[in-house]
Amino acid sequence: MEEEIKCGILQGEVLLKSYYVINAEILEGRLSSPVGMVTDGIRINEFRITTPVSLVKLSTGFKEQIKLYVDLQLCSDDERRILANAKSGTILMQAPDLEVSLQGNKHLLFIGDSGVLQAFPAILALARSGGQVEVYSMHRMGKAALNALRSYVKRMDFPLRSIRGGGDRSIAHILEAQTVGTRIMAFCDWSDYSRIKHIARRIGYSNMEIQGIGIGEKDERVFCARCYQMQHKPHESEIICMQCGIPLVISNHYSPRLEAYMGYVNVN
Amino acid sequence: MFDSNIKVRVAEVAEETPLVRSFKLVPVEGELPRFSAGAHITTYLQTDNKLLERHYSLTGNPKYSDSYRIAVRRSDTSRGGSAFWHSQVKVGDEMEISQPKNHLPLSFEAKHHILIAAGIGITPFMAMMADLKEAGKSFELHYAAASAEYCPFYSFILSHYGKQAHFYFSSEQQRMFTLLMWNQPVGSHVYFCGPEGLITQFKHSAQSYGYPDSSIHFELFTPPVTGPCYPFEVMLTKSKIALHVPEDRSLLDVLLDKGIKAPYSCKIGGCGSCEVEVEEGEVDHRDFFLSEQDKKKRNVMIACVSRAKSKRVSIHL
Amino acid sequence: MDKAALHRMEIKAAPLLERFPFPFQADSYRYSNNSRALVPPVCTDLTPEYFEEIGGKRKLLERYPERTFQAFPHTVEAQWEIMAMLMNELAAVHSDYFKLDKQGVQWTFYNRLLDEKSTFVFGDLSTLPYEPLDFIGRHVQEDLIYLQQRDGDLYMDAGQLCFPANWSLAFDLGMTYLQFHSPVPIYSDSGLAEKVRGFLLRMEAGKPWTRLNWTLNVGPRLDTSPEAFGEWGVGRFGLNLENVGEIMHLRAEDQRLFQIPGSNGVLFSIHTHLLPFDQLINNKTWADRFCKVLEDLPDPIAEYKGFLSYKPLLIEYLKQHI
Repeated sequence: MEEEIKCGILQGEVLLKSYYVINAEILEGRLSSPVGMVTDGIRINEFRITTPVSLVKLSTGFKEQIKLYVDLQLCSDDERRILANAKSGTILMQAPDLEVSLQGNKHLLFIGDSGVLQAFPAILALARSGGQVEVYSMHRMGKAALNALRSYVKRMDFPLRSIRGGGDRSIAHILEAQTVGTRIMAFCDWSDYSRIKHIARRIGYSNMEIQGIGIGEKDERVFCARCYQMQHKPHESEIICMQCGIPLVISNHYSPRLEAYMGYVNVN
Repeated sequence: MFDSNIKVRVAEVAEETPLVRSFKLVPVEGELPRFSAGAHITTYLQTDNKLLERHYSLTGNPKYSDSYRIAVRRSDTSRGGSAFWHSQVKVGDEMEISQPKNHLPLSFEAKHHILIAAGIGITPFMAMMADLKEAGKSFELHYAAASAEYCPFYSFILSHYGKQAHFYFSSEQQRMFTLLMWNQPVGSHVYFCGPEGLITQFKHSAQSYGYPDSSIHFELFTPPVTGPCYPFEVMLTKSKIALHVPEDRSLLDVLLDKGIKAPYSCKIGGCGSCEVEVEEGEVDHRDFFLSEQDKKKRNVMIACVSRAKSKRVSIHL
Repeated sequence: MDKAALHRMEIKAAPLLERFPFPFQADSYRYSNNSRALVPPVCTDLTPEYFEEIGGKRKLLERYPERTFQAFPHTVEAQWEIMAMLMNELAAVHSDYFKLDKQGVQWTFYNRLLDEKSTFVFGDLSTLPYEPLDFIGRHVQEDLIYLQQRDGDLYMDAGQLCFPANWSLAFDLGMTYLQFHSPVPIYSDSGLAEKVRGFLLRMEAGKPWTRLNWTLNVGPRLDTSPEAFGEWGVGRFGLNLENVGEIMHLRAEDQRLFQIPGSNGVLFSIHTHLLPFDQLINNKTWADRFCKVLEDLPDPIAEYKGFLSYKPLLIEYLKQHI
């Protein structure tokens, strides 16, 4: 669990009421991708923040600068205090475990409630890189999150649209109208991300043209080797098949077609 | 000995243009294997002093394999192959060919196929268009040639694929611009076949227009021109043999001369069959098979075209 | 008496111990690309176990169709091509037992071993009782898997699998080469799987390859599918020095790989052979080599092949009889 990246804090401030943003410069280590997320948190001076941090790399001049974003609503009181006092010093963090590439000429961003924090760095990076961007808010976004997103996007002069009715057809309609060079970025919960991926693949986008950060619990499934019944994957590694009653051991073998993990019959 | 090669007889010879001849090949006995669109065969031509191996795309409809059709352009810079086909080969002649191999298959997931050809580069697309039309798939052809007279398969294409075909005749000042790839619907794949310059130009444009590498397909008929060649030494670490590769020979040539059973197929750096593991030395990559990642991460080289930057390389053979 | 017994022809061959494909070339075994050119280039291999195995296969196909046969619709052309290839081969190489008559597209296939005659129109699915791969698979002992090359990768897009060594076609269908090998330790994470995939993608028609794979079998049961693990998985309890010779079998898979040029894919056939330990020990060289292989085998491989827990017992048995 060694921290690979060391940054020097330049300044920090509250953004749109519920987010905190820190400007820092990279002192040691390097970021392979311009936009990413460190899900386990970061170390600010001697303190540790365990909430996820999203970041964007801004190469300006001699040293590379980055902007780090934290959702204050996910922080404990202690963590909020640490952030408020972080005007100088050192940040240590692991390399981002989730990364977003900025290749492509046009980007469509699909942003849900839970993904606003992760979307900010991408929006900023895309604004600076100068390509065409369209931002879509997923159906039924919370008011606060939607307002924050609206304010941020307005600064970048991108259009922010909502998806009519939120259904698959509306999403397909948007995706079908695009030309080659368009990339899809999703920052939302896993089920929405999965939906968008399916629709996009059906229309003809390759895997490389679709990326995103899925937030929250992933609803994963287990395939019973004996009766082929699909069922919810719990945290435990052993379950009883809900259809045939046989005990199963959940393996790591995943089928992208069935979207499930293999559950082998357990005879022990 | 089990020879996978096929004995064929030339059943027909036709002048497609003043420079291009097409040949219909039928099996001497038995049946020809089926082939997939984009496939080519290697023809083995016995000239006075040596055996020539030349690759030609199969131009027929893959649905039918009672015969194979190829088209050969008489080249001014011929290394003997096309000259032989044009001056020596006639109806009734027998020769050996390889089984079909495909280094330019159609994409399965593409929603729209954009075929871009120049000159004799049209050949693999003839089979592809037959396939695509049969399957009701969406495609367009962009085909550059000197003029209608010097455009192989011009009338065939007009009558079968008139709706999808766009011609660019240089004699009429028509140029095929890379812009034709711009604003194409999502799920479009591009395919290039023609001179190296055309392929390089279109490949770079496609990448800048945002086509992911997996949507860009191409086949070269001749090895890419990649600068002056210098001799180098090679050490085979497994067989403990040291060899010298002169500037006018490839590593693969030298290995085969020595009787080493090195695998190979296209011999122009496109298929990866002759890939060897490099243990020491710096490789001068001149192929178009390995990805940039491969070149950086894996210690391999394509023996038929790549050379050494250092004085020697050690390979695991 | 069933029809097969009445009209049964005999397939004469050497005793099992003489024709068993012993999978070890050295006193040590590791994963590698151990393929070699298949000479002669023949896929099918008929053994005296034909009737038993075909009978067993067909029963499984009737009873568990979803488990034993899977194919994507886009593989139909490839299936016809494979069926044609195998029928031509059977009629040419095993002409005592098989005959193929072609009147244009009207084909008649004769299986003299089972006294079966099938007439159909080549290319017309409505004239066959099963999909082409499923049809021809019912006449050969091999399991048949079709790997389609598409968009730069190899996908398991069709297969008829009755005797798997603990893997599921129903689960693996549609996976890429790397994906369906991901449970195999060392092979999947050492870069070897990528190398072999590259090798398969560059295979050429007319130049087939072959390799031997192996594992251990508790009992003489060929169907060791994950679906039926509840039936065969319990056999490993209650093993001891007295019964291990009879119960344990060395299971060898003779795999043959053919490039299918019309569809641009690879046919991967698996012929499974079982040799009980108490017969294996009659070949002292084999017993000695096998013992050394087991002693030297890394634990993850033994675990994956399912016998880590009783490996010492096996070694003891072999040592006793060398």
